[in-house]
Amino acid sequence: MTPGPGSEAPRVVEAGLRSFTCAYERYVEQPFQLGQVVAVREGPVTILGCIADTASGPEDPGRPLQAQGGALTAAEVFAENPHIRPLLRTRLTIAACGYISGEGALALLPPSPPPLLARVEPATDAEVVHATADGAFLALLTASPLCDDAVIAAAVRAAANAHGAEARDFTVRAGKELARLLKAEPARLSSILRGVTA
Amino acid sequence: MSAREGMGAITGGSLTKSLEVRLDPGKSAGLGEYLVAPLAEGGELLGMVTDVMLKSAEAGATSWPPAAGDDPLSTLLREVLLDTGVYTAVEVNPYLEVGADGTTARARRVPRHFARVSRADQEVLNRAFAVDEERAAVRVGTPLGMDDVEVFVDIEKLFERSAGVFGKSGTGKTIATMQILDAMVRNNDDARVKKERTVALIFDMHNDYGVEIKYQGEGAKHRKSLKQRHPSNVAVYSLDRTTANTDAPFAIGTQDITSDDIDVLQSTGAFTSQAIEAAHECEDRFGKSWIDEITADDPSPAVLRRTFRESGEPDDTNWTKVAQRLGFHPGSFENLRRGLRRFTRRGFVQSGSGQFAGALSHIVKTLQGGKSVVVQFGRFDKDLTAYMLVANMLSRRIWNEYSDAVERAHGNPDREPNRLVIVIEEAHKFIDRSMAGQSIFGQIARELRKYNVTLFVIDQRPSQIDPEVLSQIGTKFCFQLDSETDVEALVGGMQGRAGLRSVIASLESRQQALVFGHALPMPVVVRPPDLTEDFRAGASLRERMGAPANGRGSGKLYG
Repeated sequence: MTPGPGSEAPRVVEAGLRSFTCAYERYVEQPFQLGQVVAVREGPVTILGCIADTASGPEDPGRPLQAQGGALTAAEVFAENPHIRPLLRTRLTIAACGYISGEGALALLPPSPPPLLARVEPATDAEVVHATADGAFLALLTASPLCDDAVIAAAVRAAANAHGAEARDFTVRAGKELARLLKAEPARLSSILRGVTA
Repeated sequence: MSAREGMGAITGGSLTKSLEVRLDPGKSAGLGEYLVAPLAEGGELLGMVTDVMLKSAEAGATSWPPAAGDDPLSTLLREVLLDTGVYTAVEVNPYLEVGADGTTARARRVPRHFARVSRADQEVLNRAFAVDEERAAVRVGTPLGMDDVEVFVDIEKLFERSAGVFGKSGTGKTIATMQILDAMVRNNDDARVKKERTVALIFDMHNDYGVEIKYQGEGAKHRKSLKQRHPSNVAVYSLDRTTANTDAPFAIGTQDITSDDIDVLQSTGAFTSQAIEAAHECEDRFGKSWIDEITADDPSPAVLRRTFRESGEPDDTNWTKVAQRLGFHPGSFENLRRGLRRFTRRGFVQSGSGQFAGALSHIVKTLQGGKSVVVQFGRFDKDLTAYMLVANMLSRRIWNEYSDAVERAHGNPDREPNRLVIVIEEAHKFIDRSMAGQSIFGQIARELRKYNVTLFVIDQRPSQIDPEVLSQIGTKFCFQLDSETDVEALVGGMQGRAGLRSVIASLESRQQALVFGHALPMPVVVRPPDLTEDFRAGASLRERMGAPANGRGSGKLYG
């Protein structure tokens, strides 16, 4: 089940300048993907973030989910036990990678955190291209403790998709930015690029 | 001002060594090319690329380079690291500050960090080389990477001081020399009076500067040389009577040779130092005919009389007794006799006084009359001893004539003789460290313009030339040299000599030269013009005044 722009959209439940957490109102099998650029448009600026982690589990930690269903698939178990899904939640951890103010996209931390309970939506291709074209957003990601090599590689891959026919040029540009940022860490650069080309 | 091609930015360096310029992605520059950067105080700094470097921002990129394969990761990694983790930089020797008003000065300031560097264009080079269409000049070639620009060197400035063409065999020294001399002779056409003419006395060891010059390019294996190009302004003398197309033969009498003339032959003539001393003693004792006397089989009565005048002649007289009496080891004396006999067997050496004095007088008159003189060696073209003897003998006497004439003029320039350029090949044989004191060429180089005589040396081994003499050579045309000591000898003492060394080391084996020194505001690497059938090395004042400025659409730079 893919969350759409309607009531299924996750909402901000914890907010900071560098990162924020959002949650779906229930468990979803296919939340936003690792590295995907999302946008919070409620507030003075549109805050852009990159999905750094996704976790699903019971809403109440005191009531852990019990394994059940015998030979049934997960979909069949949920279909037979419709009361389970509302007790579960899917949470996303998002690293801030810039914001859009007026006409300009800035690869900087937003001036204020996103509002709590604001809807988190996928950024449009145009927004992604605008915000990532020069690769500067990677400075925030490489500096974030939330973003390991896999997250950064996924972010570059996702942004490249938004660049369409220019994907290869964008990938090289982003790689060069990473080479500058990680000039003293050649092994890390190689690891990220391996993830980009995977 | 035309839009210049941006090349990179200044990232470091020093005025006395070189500036480092990090090239922009995708840019490249070769050794010898000119770059220009703005100075913070106004004006621009013009410099020459003297090294190209591959650098890395951190050691990691080069310690663990991308794999060689063409898999996506390796390909991307290589592409990503270029101009980020690794990059290209060039070293630029700063030479000239060029003001917006066309003034130039030796570089004393450097641009600020990150000043943008551009490839020099025609306009800035014109300002740097001070285009002067009114002066006679010789075309020395096209700067590297600037095929539409030609570099000219002011002939008068070139021969104000001694000049030299250096390079190993087969690099194009002879062709370049011929082109320079051709321009010099051509320029004489514009002289109003003979005194304004600069003339050359060319000791042409390999018979290249007279009628024909050997040519290794495409087509005919010979090209017209000076006599064919300027029949009325060049006279050819030859030591070889069988040589055709000469103005006069040339011979030396044994009585014309002094012991001073033998001094310079110590090495090439295989004379010992004792033998040279004996030569001086014999000349003192036996007079002008000393060579005829001591090359005879037995001592003549005159020799015996002058040798044993006090003690009386011994019963059995021979050369051993003579040598002992004169205080020389018989072996050394025999070394002298053997060497001189070998020498007098050459066809151009005649017993007695020969015709040397007449020829000498004729040559001096020819030179002072405004004609250049080529002394050819014909079949003696591989005889270095003959070459050294003749060049030294003639030059010594002509130098005396010139210095006397200058002294007689008492500072009145109208009475002074015209400027003479003496052209010698294998110069290091005449003016090496041990010989510079005895050779007239060392004196000429040191005295410079005082007597209106300068040297134009052509040599393969500049390191063998006496450093004091070499330092007096104003303008140097340097073709490829293999020996580091030779290169160092030429650029020692120059600003940015490390860079010039690498430029010389990178010259191609043919037809590429670094030209620097007195006649040029800054060094320039050129590809000399080819010696085509219709080649014209320079343009006379008259011709150039009649021609449109910057004719044929190409730029001209004048040193």
